[in-house]
Amino acid sequence: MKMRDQAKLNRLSGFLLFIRHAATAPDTALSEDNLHKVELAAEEILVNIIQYAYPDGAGEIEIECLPAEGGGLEVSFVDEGNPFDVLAKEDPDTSLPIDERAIGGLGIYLVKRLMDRVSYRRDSGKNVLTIVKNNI
Amino acid sequence: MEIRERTDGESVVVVELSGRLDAGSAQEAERRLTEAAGSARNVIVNLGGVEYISSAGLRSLLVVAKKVRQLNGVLGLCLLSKGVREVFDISGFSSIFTLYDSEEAAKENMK
Repeated sequence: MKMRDQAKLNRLSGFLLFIRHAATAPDTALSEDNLHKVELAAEEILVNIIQYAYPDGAGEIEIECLPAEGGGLEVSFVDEGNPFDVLAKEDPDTSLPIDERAIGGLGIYLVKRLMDRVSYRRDSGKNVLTIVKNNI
Repeated sequence: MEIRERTDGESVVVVELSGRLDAGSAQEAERRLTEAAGSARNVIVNLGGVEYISSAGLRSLLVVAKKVRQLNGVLGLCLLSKGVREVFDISGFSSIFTLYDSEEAAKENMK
């Protein structure tokens, strides 16, 4: 299943609803707990693309949901923005006290921790970020 | 997201959040919590009705926590759901915030 829409914050809930449908389809059937994690990871990735992929203005995001190998859900997020490997960014130091904690920078870290697999590739001028949540 | 405020004496304000604390609602929650922090020294945030929090929500809570500290107040969070607690644990927020099982427990600590 694929969908494509503008990279705008007011389209976020539409993207998430699409993923929810895919995640609860019979061939995927993620548990409520895992669905919650996928939804959170998807929000973080989509917000990241919306905020950073298209600095010059309008652009689109395509998402594709597939049943994952070994059970579960695989979701790919595709944008045509500047080449950007979010996974290359260093993880935040989560042990720092409140005064030293930076505001932000947690989104992609949450994605890495909540998903079973996360991968990035640059493919014919597009950024493709793929997440997998297995049905365990 | 629903946001309700109650003052409890002069020094404590309780803000009850419910719904989703996500990219769509975090800014409004941050604005209301910052206002609350300006109206009373100590702030209790009741998260009992929050079933979902993303990094945008975490960011807002961190901004408010820094603000409350600047004003020499105390910020207490209470009644985190299992899902919210898990996100707090992963991001290290469980150790930078004081978490309580009830509003009463939070108030007790602010006396």
